[in-house]
Amino acid sequence: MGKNLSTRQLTRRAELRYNRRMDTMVELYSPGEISRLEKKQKSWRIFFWTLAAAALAGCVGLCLHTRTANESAMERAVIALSVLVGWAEIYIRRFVIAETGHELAHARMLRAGDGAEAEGVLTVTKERLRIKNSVAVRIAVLEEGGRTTRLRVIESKVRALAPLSGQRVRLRIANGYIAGWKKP
Amino acid sequence: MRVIKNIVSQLHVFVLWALLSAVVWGWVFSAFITDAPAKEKVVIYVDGEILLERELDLRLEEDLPPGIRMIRAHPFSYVMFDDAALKDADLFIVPASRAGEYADSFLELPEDLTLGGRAPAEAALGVWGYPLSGAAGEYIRYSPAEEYYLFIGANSLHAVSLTGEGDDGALHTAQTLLRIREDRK
Repeated sequence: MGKNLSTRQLTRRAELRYNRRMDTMVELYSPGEISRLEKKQKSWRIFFWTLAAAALAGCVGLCLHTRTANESAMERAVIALSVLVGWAEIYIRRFVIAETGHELAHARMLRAGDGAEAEGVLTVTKERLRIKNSVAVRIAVLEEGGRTTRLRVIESKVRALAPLSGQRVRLRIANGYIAGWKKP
Repeated sequence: MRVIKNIVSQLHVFVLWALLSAVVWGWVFSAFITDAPAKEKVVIYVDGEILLERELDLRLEEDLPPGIRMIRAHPFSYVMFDDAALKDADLFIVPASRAGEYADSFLELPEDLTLGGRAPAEAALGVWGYPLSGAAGEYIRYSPAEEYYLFIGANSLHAVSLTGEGDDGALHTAQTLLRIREDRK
């Protein structure tokens, strides 16, 4: 029985198949990918504000139901609700919305950048670094005739490049980042 | 694993949020939710220890006077150095030995006033001392060596029968307090 795939996965697979068939560069950040990131960021923003509004309404509701007999319990409930939802909100803001935003900005920058091409044996290392207020990246090395070029690849794209590690590839490079690849 | 790493990297933000939530909501509760404007609240100060402060509030709130939504009983130590809060109180329970210190804060009770079936003697209502068992005696620790009196605050907004302003919430609450003593007998 076949695996159920989402529309996004099917579109991406079709894109990859087309790229291979046409012997074109596999873009790590295709227009489809950018659109997916934009949608992801928008959905999380909506969820973020909906959750904040619901939590605030919940706190107000608890306050309105506070009486002398239950004031301690209600105060504890309001603080617990505020702390827990606040933690969730901080996580979403810092690690989902902001990360997606950084990735989106990077993807746009890579698509807009001049795409120089280089060929060699690719190795995706475990060396990781985080650019301040931006994305986390991994270092990849391209070796050709004793010459080594250090390149960056955005963390979320490491999985797409990992199978190519140790193989000869042709890369599209923009601003020191790997933006696309194809087998020579 | 990644989620835990992310949380640890921003642990100070999470801790700060928890502290901020506790402080802000604590303040909101104490300043707005569990308090009411003076017009809607009767405040009783006891020169002594209140054993079950919140339970006494609840017991008194079982018979709320019209227009009042909250009754709060506190020991004198609750206000510490805030004399203004003490002076604006509606009812006082004070031992005879210290009544003179606060005399300016009390209303003189007319002789024809009757509260809880008792008329005031020398402008004050006795609540503890032979032969009285003590108003709300299960909630207030009276000193056995003292006589205690119930006074009405001179600045009370809830003694219209005596001051001509506001409502009679303080007198109503005084009746309830005295009735708690009656209930025990």
